[in-house]
Amino acid sequence: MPTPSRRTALVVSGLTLGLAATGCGQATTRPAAVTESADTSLLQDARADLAGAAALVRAVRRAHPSLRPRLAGLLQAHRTQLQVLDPDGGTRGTVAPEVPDEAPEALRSVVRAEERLARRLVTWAVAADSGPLARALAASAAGVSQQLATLGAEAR
Amino acid sequence: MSGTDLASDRLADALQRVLATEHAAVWAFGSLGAATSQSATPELFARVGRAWEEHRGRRDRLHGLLLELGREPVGSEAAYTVPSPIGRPDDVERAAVRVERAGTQAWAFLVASTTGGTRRWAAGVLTELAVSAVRFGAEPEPMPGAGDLLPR
Repeated sequence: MPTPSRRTALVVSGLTLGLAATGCGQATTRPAAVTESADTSLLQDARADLAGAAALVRAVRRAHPSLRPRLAGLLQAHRTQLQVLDPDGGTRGTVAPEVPDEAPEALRSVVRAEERLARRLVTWAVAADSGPLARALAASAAGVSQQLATLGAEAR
Repeated sequence: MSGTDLASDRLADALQRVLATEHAAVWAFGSLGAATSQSATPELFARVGRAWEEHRGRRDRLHGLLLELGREPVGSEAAYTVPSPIGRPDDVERAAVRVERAGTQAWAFLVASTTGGTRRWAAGVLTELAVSAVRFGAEPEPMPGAGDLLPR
């Protein structure tokens, strides 16, 4: 059996501990085992996508100060999600974000990236062997969707 | 008891817990609808009505899944505690937020307790409830339904 990375072990451990504190009868429903070899790759992809999305939000806020207030919640949400899913904080986005020159188009680029992120988080949640990891990923997708709802239809 | 039986028991247990939450949500949104004026606050009335319909649909689907597993679905309680004072539109929205947030916790639990298509459905409902909570006035959360995971 492959040895899980320290970061995966940390996350899985953290999520398992977190689940135990929810009071939803985990003693009888917690997944029996975590297949860390399968989930390691999935979690790395999720971290990279989250870090990439956060990098785009930061870049758009830098380039378009008028958007800073509207995107503050989204950036904070990603910071918190990464604190849970990437407690060592070592993941960076793999692609330098390109920011459109006009603020409305820049905002739309953020929305498109976040919509894609939410879909991918759900896909990874479904694919995860670990129930606690699936819960964390699905909850992150829901958090992204909440932020998209607050951005409003004019951002699309 | 075989591993398959154990897994089936766990799934049924998770579905029963979420079904109980949905029974309560259907009742709560029914109460909120009765407390909302269609003429004075038509948009709120429509949102409450949609939420009620959606919770009914989820309840019925959970009920069907449990029957497919050969289990007797839990029934609704005879009555539930009124979510809060619901005399004004603000009260209705606050109560709706509480119901939807309770739902996110239940459905996030179901995500962790299931696999495949049922997990995909649970993840979708989790997002629907999280967005519904925001539309009723909730502050967004980084991880709706999994607040216990957040750094303290």
